[in-house]
Amino acid sequence: MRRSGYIIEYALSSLLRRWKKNVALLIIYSAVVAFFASVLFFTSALREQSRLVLDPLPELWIQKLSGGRLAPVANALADSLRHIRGVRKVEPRVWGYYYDSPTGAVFTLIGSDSLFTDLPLQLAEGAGRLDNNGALCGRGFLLSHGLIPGDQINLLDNKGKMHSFVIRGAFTSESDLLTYDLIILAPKQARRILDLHETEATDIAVAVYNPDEAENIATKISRRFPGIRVISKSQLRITYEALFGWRGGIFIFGALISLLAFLILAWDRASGLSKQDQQELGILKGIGWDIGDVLALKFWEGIIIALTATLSGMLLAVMHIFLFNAVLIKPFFIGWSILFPPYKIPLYISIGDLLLVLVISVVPYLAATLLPAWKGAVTDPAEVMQNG
Amino acid sequence: MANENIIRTDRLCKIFNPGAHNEVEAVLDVDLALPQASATLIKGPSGSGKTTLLTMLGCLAKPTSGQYTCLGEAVSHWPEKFLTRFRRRHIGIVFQNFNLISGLSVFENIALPLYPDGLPFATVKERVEQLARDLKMDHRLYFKVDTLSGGEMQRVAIARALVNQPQILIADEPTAHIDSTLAKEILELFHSLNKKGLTLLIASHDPLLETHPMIDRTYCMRDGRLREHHAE
Repeated sequence: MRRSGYIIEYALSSLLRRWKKNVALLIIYSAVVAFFASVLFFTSALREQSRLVLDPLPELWIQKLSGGRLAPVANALADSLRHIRGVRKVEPRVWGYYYDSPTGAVFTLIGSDSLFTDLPLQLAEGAGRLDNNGALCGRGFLLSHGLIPGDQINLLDNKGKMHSFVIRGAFTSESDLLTYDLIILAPKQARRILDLHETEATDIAVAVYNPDEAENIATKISRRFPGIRVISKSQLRITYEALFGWRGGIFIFGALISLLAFLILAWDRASGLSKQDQQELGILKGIGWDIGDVLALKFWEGIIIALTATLSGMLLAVMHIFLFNAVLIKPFFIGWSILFPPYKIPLYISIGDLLLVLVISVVPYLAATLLPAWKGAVTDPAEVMQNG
Repeated sequence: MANENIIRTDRLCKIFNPGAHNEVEAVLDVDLALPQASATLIKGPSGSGKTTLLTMLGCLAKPTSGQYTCLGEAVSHWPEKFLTRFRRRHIGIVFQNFNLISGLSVFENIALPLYPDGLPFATVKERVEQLARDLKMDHRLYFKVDTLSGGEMQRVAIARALVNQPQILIADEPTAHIDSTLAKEILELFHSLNKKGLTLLIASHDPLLETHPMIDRTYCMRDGRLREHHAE
């Protein structure tokens, strides 16, 4: 134990004596680990994010297809769906996209009296929650138009007719992920803008009593009502996972190649032990250190470098992802958008991810430095006497 | 053990690249018998095989043939691991050019041979400080060795060789890189250590050593062969 303590102490002092070289090595090593860990943490955080977003959604929703395209669904279908065994709640939804030509952005328009009413709102002076001529807006819409609650907005229907609404309230930044690009109108007004008849909805949300039965109920609905598409939450989850997994896979592949390149560099550096390194190992052997002692020294040097770089890299990755919102890699994962919600990525790191980074970073580096160190360790101690 | 031969060799040979076109017979048929607390000088021109002989006697290298018995143990063909341990416990070596590790302090350089044994730090500190006092280096104990003079470096190298309390001290050209005043100082130091019972084996062609009173036998090495040298 004390022997290891002395050797660790010597390894530390040995690294400090060559601090310039080792600092440069640590910077490169940490950067490579940070890149790899960023991708891993970000992919996991996105998966977690999608899980959190999907969790509160209904298990199923029903869309009508007409000629392979989405078409409005009749409200009457909701009544039929209510009678299917296992269905808990059926809710026709009115929503669509609104292209805003002044900004070139596309907003999500929802017609609802009750949706998101529990989210924090900044209300206009004297305003109630929502009335027939009122609108609730997300921050993205307000910021892009320079509007505040109490101002008026004009929206065009598909015939080009303008409809004016007063902004009764604005969603606050806490709900940006859900509301940033949102405009909520009374259902009747939303139908006018989206060109939906009173008897039609965009789709129908279906909640079931037993989520495990959702797929069976989906199959039952599909068979009973031809021409409709049933989307289940589990399908959506698989799609998200596949999307993030695929993009993450490309990046992890790139990061692994960087790590491999670094390890080849480390191998190259370690295998060509400098004259000074060889001289020092020779002296240590000459004064009574055996091969095991010298290898232990090199092992501890490697562990200190690898752990410092790995921990720094992981810390940098955590800061990059969760403090700086993955500024360097986010666009590659979730796409570019004129008005993409600037949401904060939730802090989520799994033990599995940490272990994976640790193993992939530390083990190959140790192998890449220890194997060549063996060459130095078996230096003939007599050489130190001969070379004086 | 008082009058026994602490070092004994029988037809010791060291041949580099045996059988190859560049074969070198560095040491040939050396017979040596050195009693405890003796002070032996091996002189001879450069390339005569002095250093190679010392590497074998210092258990740094194995002989190609012949027998080497040190402190009663036939060590000639021991595996390196055991040879290293034996060397660490019983033999101190002062190399040419000091061979200190730059960037480390005097204390660290002296303490290095003790690390593999994992002695308590209090023991390490006590031994290093005692040696530093004996060698008049205590005022420089925490200086980096790079800042020392040649004489001070040599004293650190000697302290490092003595820190494991060896019975044998082997020194290769200990006065080669220091001026004559310092050389005399170092020889006085060796003399005092020898008087305390340390067996000394020194390779050198410095005339100062040849005439020094502590030297009780001198050997001359030439072309790998050792002959006892008798003063005229």
